[in-house]
Amino acid sequence: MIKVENISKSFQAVKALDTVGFTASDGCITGLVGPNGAGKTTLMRILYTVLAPDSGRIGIDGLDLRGQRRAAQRRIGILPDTRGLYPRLTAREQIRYHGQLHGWEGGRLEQRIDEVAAALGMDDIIDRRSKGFSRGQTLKVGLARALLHDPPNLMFDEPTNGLDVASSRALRDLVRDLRARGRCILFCSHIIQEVAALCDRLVVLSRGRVVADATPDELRAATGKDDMEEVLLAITQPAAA
Amino acid sequence: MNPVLVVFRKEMRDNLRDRRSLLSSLIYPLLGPLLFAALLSVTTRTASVQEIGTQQPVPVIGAEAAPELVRHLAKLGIVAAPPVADIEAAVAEGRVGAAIVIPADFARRLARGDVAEVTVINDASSLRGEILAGRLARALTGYGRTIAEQRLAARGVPPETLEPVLVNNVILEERRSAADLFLFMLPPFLMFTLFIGGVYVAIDVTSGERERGSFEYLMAAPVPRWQIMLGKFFAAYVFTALSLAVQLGAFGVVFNTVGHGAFSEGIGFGPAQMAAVALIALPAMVFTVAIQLTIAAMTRSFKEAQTWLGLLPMVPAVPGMVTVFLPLHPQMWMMTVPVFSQLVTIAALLRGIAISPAHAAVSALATVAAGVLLLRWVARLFEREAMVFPG
Repeated sequence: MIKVENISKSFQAVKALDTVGFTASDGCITGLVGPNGAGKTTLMRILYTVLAPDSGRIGIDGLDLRGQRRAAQRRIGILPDTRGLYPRLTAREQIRYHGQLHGWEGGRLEQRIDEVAAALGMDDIIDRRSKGFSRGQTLKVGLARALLHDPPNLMFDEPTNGLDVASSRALRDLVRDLRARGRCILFCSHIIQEVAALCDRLVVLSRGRVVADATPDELRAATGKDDMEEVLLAITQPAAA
Repeated sequence: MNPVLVVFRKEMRDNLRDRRSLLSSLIYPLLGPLLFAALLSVTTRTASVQEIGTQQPVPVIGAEAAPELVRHLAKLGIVAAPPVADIEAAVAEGRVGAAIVIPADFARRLARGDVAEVTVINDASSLRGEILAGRLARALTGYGRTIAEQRLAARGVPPETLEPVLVNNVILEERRSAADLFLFMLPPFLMFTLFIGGVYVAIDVTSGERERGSFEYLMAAPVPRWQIMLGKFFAAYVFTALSLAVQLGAFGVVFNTVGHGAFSEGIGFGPAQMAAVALIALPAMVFTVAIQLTIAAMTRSFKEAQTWLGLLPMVPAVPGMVTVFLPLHPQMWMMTVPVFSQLVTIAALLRGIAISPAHAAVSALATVAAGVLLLRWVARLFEREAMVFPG
């Protein structure tokens, strides 16, 4: 479970996040949506600990992200927007590096790498260097790292970005499967139809503030619109709608 | 496994697969030794020109006018070679090192007690020609002197009249063989390698990783950032050490093959000197790599880091050049300055000056301490948001 309370963050004069708060529950896919520049990526970076908030509190399964950072980090699996692979390392080496940094080693680690690689269908790329990987292949390595240490909380930033139809569908199936196994999933995307179809709950960010936090059906009802694109526009740009 | 070791092993593997990292640590350090090999082979050949006892053929024009002079020169190893047509052109083109021109009235003038002229033609732009001309001038002046002594003796004047002051020269540190200078030129080259050997790795593991986008991911790992930094430091350190080892080995080969026997008694570059230099350099690398990481962590991009780090080796270059020409005798205050202390001690070592254990200890401790302070600062830089996302 990810609990965000009153998070604010400024970059010089720009207020990127303003008292943001929501809860992402276990066994639930929480979508983080909003227009460009709404603060989604900044919030994700704060959640996976590479940025520190100016104020506010974040709890990961009850662990305070500031006071119990290492323990909290071990309970998070992340897929950043910049996938961040090492071009000169093979897929297996990157996954192993990640595992070792999470304190795994030896036979247990190797066995787990094989499991995750098999689950993601990585046979053809697992021992290839990642230079020249397609977006789909890059995503698989990123997902393998995120899932390797079997974390209860997962944060995916624009996971379907640049994927073909088949790969996007496979990813959605994977995310649903993770939900079925009780994981807490935070799914950040700007493709609203995808998010609406997949997520149980939507947190809508606009100009650094949470402007809505509800199920897709509740949002449709509240705005009186059926198309999720229209719904989002109505919420984030009330004047235009 | 300790996270420091995890990061270190990953960076080693990653950079050993990088052609640019390998080039900068394994190929660049060979440039100095190759240059020295070329220069040494020229110098040792040039140096043999001035050696007494070696037979040196020199074209003499008008030799028949001064048979006595020719005999005198032959005793000194300067053999009169047949005249060459258009001698000035021959010297200018380097076909002949130097030549002597004797006028037809040479013997007649001497017999009359007059001043006789003799001309040495040489090309001052050629080191070999310069050295040969010097040898010829000394031989010719010596001949003139014997004639002067004969003339004085004929008039009953003692020959000592010519030399009222006798100069005695006590040389303590002798400027010995010309090849020695190459040995003295080693310290700046070695310092340069300490700054450049691991520099590509230092940039790659910081700005490079940031630009490739993996730094953000790494910073989210449940590991203290100073441990990640230390793993990266050790990788750059090992590459620097590798680079130095390659250079020392190559210099060793050059000095003991091309330069074999060219150095003065008591100095050289054998296994003992190589080991001592390596030992002195180990603490210096802590400092140079720490400085590389500091700059790489402070700059915003790979290119900016590369620019600054390219300028860095210029800092020790100036005192480095000084040690080539002037022996700086190690003093305690010098030992407290990182890199400079190693420069001075290595320069002394190569000149055969003994290094006191106290100096060696202070130099090592002061340099490592400065390096550790820098690393603590880098660890703090790693905690900053600007390290992950430069503004």
